[in-house]
Amino acid sequence: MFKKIKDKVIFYGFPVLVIFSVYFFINTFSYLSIYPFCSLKIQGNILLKNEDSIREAIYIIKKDYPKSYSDLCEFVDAIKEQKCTIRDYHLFPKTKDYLSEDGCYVKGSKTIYISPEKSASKEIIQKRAKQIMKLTAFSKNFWTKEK
Amino acid sequence: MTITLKKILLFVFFLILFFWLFGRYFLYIDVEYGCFVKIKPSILEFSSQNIKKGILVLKYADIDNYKELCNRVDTVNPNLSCGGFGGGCYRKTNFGSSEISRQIDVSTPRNGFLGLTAAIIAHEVCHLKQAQENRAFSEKECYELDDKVLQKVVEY
Repeated sequence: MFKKIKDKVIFYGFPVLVIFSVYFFINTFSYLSIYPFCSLKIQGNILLKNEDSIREAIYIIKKDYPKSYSDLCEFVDAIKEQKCTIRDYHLFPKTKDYLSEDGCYVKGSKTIYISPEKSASKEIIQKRAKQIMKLTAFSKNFWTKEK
Repeated sequence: MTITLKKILLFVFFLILFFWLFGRYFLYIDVEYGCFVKIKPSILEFSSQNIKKGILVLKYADIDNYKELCNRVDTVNPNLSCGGFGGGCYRKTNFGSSEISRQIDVSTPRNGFLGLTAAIIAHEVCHLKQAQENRAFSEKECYELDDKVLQKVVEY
């Protein structure tokens, strides 16, 4: 009797364990939601290690702005924490005017870039949520209106 | 020796896998615009996907520079070159050849900013164009061109 139960636990438990392990592994490097389905690659700044605040921002969007969340899942496939080059730096010697601190969207892609942040405070998470929603709207606008 | 159906299927499977991987990592093909560009294997960073995405940025957001790329370039070399890490380079002739090279070097990192990758590609195509049109090598012209690409493709 005990052996039967043990066999059943192993038979059903092992695949469940594998599925959950894969799910948590994927969520370490990206964002994955089963329902409603949403898969996003998240690439934080290597030095700042602040990827969790990006995930927190996505949870806020999912909870409070469902329309923006569905756009995010449809029109964005990667969120990267990186400064944006908006002009050729050779034309701006001795200044940082060629960089954007506000994040950006690159047309023709589904990648959005948000500015690197050291802190993971509530204000920063809210700021990131707003930035992600703004850049998602740029991507949606490009893939729906400009095509 | 008998060749079983299992062996044939296995051979076909690996053949398809080989061509799929080769096409994914070492070729950029766009039938619509007659675009066929080889991407060399990269030793330092496996950055062919960054280059392909950069090319797609040009396709969807700056079609004129995309057409220039398709008409003029036959090979993209992602290995470290005279442009340094994250830069680009164009050499008018390859070693041991007098023909004008149709290869551009784009040494962008695997996770590099796509806007900059697109701008670097356009910059090197600009130098290739100067060489093909027998004009003097001018950085100013190509800096101005890649600056326009950045302004066109990056929204903030």
